[in-house]
Amino acid sequence: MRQISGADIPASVDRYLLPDEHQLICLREHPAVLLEPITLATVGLLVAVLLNSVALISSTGLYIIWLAGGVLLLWMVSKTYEWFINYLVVTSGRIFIVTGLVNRKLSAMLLSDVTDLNLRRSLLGRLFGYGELVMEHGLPDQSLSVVRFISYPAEVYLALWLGPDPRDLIEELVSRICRVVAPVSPFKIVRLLEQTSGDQGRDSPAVARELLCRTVADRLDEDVSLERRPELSCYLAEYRNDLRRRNNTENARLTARFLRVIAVTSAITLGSLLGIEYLTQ
Amino acid sequence: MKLISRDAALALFIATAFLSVLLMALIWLLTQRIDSLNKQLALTARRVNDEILDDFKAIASELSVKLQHEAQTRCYNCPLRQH
Repeated sequence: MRQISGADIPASVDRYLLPDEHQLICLREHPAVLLEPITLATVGLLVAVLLNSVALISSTGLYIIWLAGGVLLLWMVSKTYEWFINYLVVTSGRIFIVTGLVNRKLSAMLLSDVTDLNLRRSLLGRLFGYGELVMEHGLPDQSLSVVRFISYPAEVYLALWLGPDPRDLIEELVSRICRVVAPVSPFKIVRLLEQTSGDQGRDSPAVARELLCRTVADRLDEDVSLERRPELSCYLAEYRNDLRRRNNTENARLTARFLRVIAVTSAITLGSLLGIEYLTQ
Repeated sequence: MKLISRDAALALFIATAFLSVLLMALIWLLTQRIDSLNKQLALTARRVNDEILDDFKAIASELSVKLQHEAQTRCYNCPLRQH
């Protein structure tokens, strides 16, 4: 994991850290975010070179094509620089993103406001090694709900629900619980355990979170098929169903978006060529 | 040298433009559907949360009673109390 500490913290991030804030992770977006601008700029330049060599259109047309290629190249350079200066930072209390080339923008969220956190990985994400974090919260106007192109997604996710200490014991116990109550996220389980152990201890001895976690994991291991918890089993089945339907629709939307990019690019290219030919006749 | 005729290019342009509009409409519809599914999912997730929380609380309460009982037994058997 790319973890910047001490003197290596970039000044653009350091200024947003509070004096007592413990920084866990500081990393750039995954380079896959540059795939689109690099591909478009390369294709644009290749088209310009191709049209130049086959002399399909007049010199005015070529001038326009080269100009468009240059604009695409500049756009790619600005995107690359933006990628270089944008950071995702996770501290012990919050998660924030510093973005923007000219106007720097800070989008932050307190981890205590996050009610659930899920890691989503598409086929391309698994191929290139990035993922996206989907945060659920009760806040009405938060811009930071989905963080895309996360490098080292599994490590970032672990750091978000485990916190600063490498507590392997809790990790193993929570994983055992999650196996039974899938698809509830480990983050949610930790939150519920914290809530439960926090509610205890008013008129009885407080139960430590680790002990509670172990007991819950043992109890659920004895009832893996949730036969003794019919209501929970029913709600979980419903939740799984809803989640699958939402994910299928989300995948359909992603495919439609991809196809739209191809269709719009083709329409613009054909329209430009027709326009240039009409103008130069 | 011409790669394709102007009529073919025009037909392709109309087809891709029409497809773009269709895809935009489809994306809008899918976005509406996802919003409604998200609302439904939030409700289902809430029910699952409440159920798990109740289960955890029941286990914690049982554990708490057990710990209390163990503490009392240990205290009852301790040498100081026996004297």
